Amino acid sequence: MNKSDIEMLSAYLDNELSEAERSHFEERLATDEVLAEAFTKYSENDQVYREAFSAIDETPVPDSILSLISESEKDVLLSNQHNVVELKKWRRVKWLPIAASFLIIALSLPVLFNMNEPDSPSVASVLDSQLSGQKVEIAATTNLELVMSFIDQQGHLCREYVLSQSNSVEQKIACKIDGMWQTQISDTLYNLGGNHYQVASSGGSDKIENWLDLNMSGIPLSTRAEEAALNRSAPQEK
Amino acid sequence: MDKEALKLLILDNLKDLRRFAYSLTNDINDADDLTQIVVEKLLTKPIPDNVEPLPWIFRVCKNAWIDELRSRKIRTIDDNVEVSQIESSTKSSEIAEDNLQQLKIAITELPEAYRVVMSLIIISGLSYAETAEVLEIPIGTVMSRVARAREKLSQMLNKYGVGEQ
Repeated sequence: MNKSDIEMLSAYLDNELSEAERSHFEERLATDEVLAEAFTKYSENDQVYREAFSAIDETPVPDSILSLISESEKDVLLSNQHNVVELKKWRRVKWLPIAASFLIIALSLPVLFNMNEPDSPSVASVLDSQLSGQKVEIAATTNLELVMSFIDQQGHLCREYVLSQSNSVEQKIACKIDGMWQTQISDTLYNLGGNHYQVASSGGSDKIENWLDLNMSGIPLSTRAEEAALNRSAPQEK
Repeated sequence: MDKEALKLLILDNLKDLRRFAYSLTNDINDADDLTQIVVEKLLTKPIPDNVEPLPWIFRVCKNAWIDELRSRKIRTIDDNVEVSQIESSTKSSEIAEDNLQQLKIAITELPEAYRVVMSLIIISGLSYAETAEVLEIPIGTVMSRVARAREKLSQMLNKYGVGEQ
């Protein structure tokens, strides 16, 4: 089957064809064995896929969710402060508290810098090898925390990370383009002045989010998918 | 949209929302935590006037899951719970156990972009137009992506010998 047939078959299953297209496609289904076989297989797979995730229906909806919906408007506001079931600890760990930020966009700058520590891994080598969730010390006062990996709209492997240095914390996204990690966007979250964090600037804190909205394809990679993607993109040993 | 109408909308779509959350998280408890977060967000932040409410609900869910993934400090266990969860939850299903396990492996190997689009269309029953709104991509991309997802899943299941008697 060619790409067009696969798309037509898929759209037919999803009831997305016009009357004319549907009628024409059904005529083909009646005479084209390969197409008919694919139709059967896709339908079965859809059913299995649906059933696999419908399994959650067997577990009752938690009262904590139902009570949110059934409370009066006034109670809903109160419940958000006092009455909501405690979430798991990792759920309360929210993304770095972005008070405000100062945007530094370094479009397409290769991630080349090393921290001048003889044994410290470069940023690029950490991006090539470590899974998200890890925090890696790349110099005495510099840590790199890997947040997530994703595929961008052009199919490149991209990684979001946070670079904490003695006087600043930066949120960055780099994508591997032509075998080289290239910074796509960077946002300074904090500048440290004296003993206190200081807001670098006001505004601009949504820039990374906006960039992700425009450029990320789907959702972040699972650990397994991330591992496979890193293996595929890793530099070949010489 | 007033609060009562919003609550009705959430209730009407709660089952699909949970299923979608489950397809993202692969864990029933995480799915319910995610659903709760989504319901809280929906009830406390008004739906913008210029968006369709239904796709908006699923977009909030997808974005909330992305936030959770980004805030996770350890992500090495998220692939290990899913098979047992699905296995134990679908004992009554007519699907053969082996096939289900293989399907589950195949699903987790699907690229995330494919899995999300399949879940929105096949599990949650959204149209291509609604899915395009959720994911903020063109309808043509939705069409080609779900088609590629089905073909990829089919190839993977063939590889595992699922469906062959």
